[in-house]
Amino acid sequence: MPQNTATVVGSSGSTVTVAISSGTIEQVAWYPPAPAGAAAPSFSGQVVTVPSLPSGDSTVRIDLSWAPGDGDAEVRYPAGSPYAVVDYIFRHSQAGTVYLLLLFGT
Amino acid sequence: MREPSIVAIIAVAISLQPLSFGQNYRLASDSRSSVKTFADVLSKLSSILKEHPELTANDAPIKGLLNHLDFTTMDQPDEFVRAFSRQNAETLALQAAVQSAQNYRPDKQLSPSSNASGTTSLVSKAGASDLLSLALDAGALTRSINGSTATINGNLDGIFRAATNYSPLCVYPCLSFANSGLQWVDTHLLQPVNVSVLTALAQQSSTTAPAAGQASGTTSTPLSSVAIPTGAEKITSVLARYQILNKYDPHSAKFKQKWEEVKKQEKFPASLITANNSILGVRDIVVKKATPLNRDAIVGAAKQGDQQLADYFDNYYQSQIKTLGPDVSAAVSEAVQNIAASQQIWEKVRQEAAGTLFTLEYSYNHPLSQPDTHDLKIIYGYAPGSVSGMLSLNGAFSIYDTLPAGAKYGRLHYGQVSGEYDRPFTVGGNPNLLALSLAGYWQYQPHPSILNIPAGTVAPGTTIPIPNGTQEFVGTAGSLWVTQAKITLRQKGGINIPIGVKWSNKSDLLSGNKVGAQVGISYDFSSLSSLFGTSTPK
Repeated sequence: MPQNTATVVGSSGSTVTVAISSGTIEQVAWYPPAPAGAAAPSFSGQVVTVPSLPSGDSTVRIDLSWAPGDGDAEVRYPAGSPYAVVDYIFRHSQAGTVYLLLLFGT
Repeated sequence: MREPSIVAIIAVAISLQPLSFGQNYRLASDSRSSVKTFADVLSKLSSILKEHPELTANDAPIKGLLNHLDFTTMDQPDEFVRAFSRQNAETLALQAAVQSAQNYRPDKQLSPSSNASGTTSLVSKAGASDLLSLALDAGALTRSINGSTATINGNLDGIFRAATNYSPLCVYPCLSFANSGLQWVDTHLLQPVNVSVLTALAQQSSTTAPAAGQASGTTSTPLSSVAIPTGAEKITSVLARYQILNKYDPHSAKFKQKWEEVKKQEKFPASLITANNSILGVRDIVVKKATPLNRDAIVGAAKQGDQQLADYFDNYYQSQIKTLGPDVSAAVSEAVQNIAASQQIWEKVRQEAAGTLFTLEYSYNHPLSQPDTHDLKIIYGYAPGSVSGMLSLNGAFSIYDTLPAGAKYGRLHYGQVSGEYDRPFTVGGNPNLLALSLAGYWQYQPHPSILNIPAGTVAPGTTIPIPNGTQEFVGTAGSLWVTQAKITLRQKGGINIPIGVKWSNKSDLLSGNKVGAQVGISYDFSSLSSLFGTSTPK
């Protein structure tokens, strides 16, 4: 996966935080193949944290459930910025979804 | 309803095109499975580029949106699973029907109610099929006459969606119709309503006809009329039910807290992750064979217009589909089943979080040799969060349709209350294969039951036909008690086999204790929902 298709591009070793504006995160994990030696991603509420961005390609799997009333989600990077929408997760009237956050460390 | 009629309805439903309420091209109205499934992504892409035409394929959020469409990135792969399953609905639905063993919904009422001559249900459940169901039952519970029945049940919303090529199974709210009036009708009049038709099988009644003279015999026995056997496979009951959920605000803190509690109790996250694993299994197969989307070209098409965007994407989608082998079909089939199972648990969580589920049921009954009745029933379903299983409670009364001249009884036929507890058991690691039900039923009727004696019936011990017919009290007034123990085997593809035994202190026409057995088989066509179109509403 080249740099020009990664949803989030950052400096290798930096901490990446991504906010999901809707839905409930049930689980986050590296999507195989996990980068060698990379610390596992985590989440708190609706913010996903990659503690140290691996060099090159990596992918975080985010399992989301939708509650009644939830709408489509915006993926914001960095998490604190309300304007930096890098992608959308569409509900499609489903009970939940799996979203792959495509990362690239320079 | 006969089998050819069912087949005809299904054929008509499949052949119908989706409803369209607009004249101009709209991405959401495009009938191509690729465009329809990805309509939200394409619409978002189009609207952002219309607002910011300076953006390129490498700019956020265009790059992220293209990752949905590009088969080499596919960052929300359930979209592909739904598009592929829509395009290959018939094959996948049949596979799913054969393979699926995850059809357990303890709140579904598929067999007829307790007063049918052939039924396995002493107590009615609050829920019903999401689409269509067919049940065959043998053995009476409150009736004296043992019979066999066939019951076809359908949800008006499910049938309507099937006929309009929208998925009958979607999670709440199924807001799919652009027309607000139609949406109101769907939400308030179609989604909550189920209708059933009950047919008595191999149960004969008679009708009188004038006799044309004695055909044999040496002794003259003149008869003016004779009874002709009729009524096999006649419709004996028509039923409608309306489900009432507690009103709730999905954005309230109270509901959200309850939602999270019930979600964990029902282990919804585990089922969701299972579904997601199978979705990612599909993605793994597809990505290996995929060629990248020409991102600059599709952005260029989007800037020309929605039709051009849709055409470009569909061409790309179809070119990728051609490279896929049969392993994708099998993987998508498994994913669709797991998604459906996860959605069913989601719906159960919603009902429990929303609160009490009530169902109002009305039925018009035309029993053999007895007066017609109108029955009204209220059904309450309760699934205690801390205990596996479901409690169903019924309260009902029945009134006679008409009172003949000189009737020595009133309009009230009977009143009844009843309760049932259903508990699933894990067998061989599968929690859905077996359920045990224990039920109790009390009915009080102020007068004995009424038996119609049709005109032309020969009086016992004589050759004298009764000219105008009459009615007779039969059985006893007072309390009718019934208890039932039942096991239900849940087989692959939506097949349920209930087997029950009952004890009663009497039956409607006969005094004295009675022990009997009931057996049935039902099929819930919800597992074939993708045959009826898999459009996913917004």
